[in-house]
Amino acid sequence: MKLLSFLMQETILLNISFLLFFPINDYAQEPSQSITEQTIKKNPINLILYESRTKKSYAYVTYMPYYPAYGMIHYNTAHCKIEMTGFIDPFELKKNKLIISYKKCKVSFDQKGKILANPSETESCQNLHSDKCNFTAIPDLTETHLHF
Amino acid sequence: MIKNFVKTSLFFISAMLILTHIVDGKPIHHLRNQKENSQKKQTFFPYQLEIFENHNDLNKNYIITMDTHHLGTTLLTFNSPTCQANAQGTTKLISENPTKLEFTSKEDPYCKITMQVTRQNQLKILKETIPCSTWHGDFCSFTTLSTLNHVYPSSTKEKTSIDLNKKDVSP
Repeated sequence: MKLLSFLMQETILLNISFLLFFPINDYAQEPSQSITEQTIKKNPINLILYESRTKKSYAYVTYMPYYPAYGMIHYNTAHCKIEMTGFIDPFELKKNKLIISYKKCKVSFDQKGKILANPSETESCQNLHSDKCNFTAIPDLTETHLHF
Repeated sequence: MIKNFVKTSLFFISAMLILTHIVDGKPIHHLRNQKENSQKKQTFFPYQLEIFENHNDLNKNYIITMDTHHLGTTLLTFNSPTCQANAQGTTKLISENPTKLEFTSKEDPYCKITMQVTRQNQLKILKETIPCSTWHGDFCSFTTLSTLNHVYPSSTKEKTSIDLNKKDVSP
C-alpha cells in the first residue's frame, strides 16, 4: 500500500515538472506539420503555387515539394524581368522556409500561412539579373489553389 | 434670334462630333467599348503562368509549368512507376511555326525538346535531341508522354495559347 502511494506521488510530481518545462500552449502554437505538408494534405498535388498580380507587376513562385523538387521564380514589371529555376531544399521546407537554389545562387522566402514573404538572395544571384532589380523586390505572394 | 443662334451652334457641334466618328469609321458606342476594353486590359499586368497536366492512377505528377505567350522559364516533369523524366530550362517560339515551342535544358543546352500547342489548347511533345536522354531513363523519353491538357489558368480558355503566340510573333 505504501509502495502504491509512493508511486502515485512520484507520478504526480513527474507530471507537474513535465508541464512546467513543456507548457501545453507550446504544443498548440507549434503544429507538428509544416505549411507544405498541410497544403499537400488538403490538396494532394505535387505542385504549390504562390502568385501576386497588380496593375504594374506579376510575380509567382511555384515548387514541387517532392521529387523532382523543382522550384521556379518569376518577377516581372515594366522595368524588371527576372526568372529562375532550381532545386528546393526539402529540409528547410520543414521549417517553413522555401529555398530555391541554382548553383551558388540561393533565393529564400518565409512561409506564413498562405503568404510567401521576406525574399532574400545570396550574392551569386547577381549573375542572374541586372543591377536595377533583384529577387528581394518580389512582393508578398498569396497561395493559389490548384485543381487538376 | 439668340435661340436660333444657340440651336444652330448646337446642331453644328453635334454634327462635327458625329462626322469625326464617321470619318474614323467607328461608331460612338464602339469607341466607348474600346475605351472600356483598353481600361480592362490595363487592369492587370499581362503575364501569366500556364500549367499543362495529364495524369491517371498509375502515372502521377505529370506536370508542365510554363508561360506559352511570354516565353521563358519552364519545368518539365513526368513521374510514373516506369519512367522518370524531368528537366528545367527555357522555352521560346520556333519562328517558322508559331504554334511550335522549343525547350532548351538549363543543364545541357544541346538538350532541346520540340512541343506544339494544338487548337484545343493542348500540349504535345513532338521530338527531343539525343542529349536529353540524360534527363530520363533508357526505356522512356519525353516524346512518349501523352498529350497534356491546359489546366491553369482556367479563365483563359477562350483565349488559346496559339492566339497569344501569334501575337508575339508579329513584328
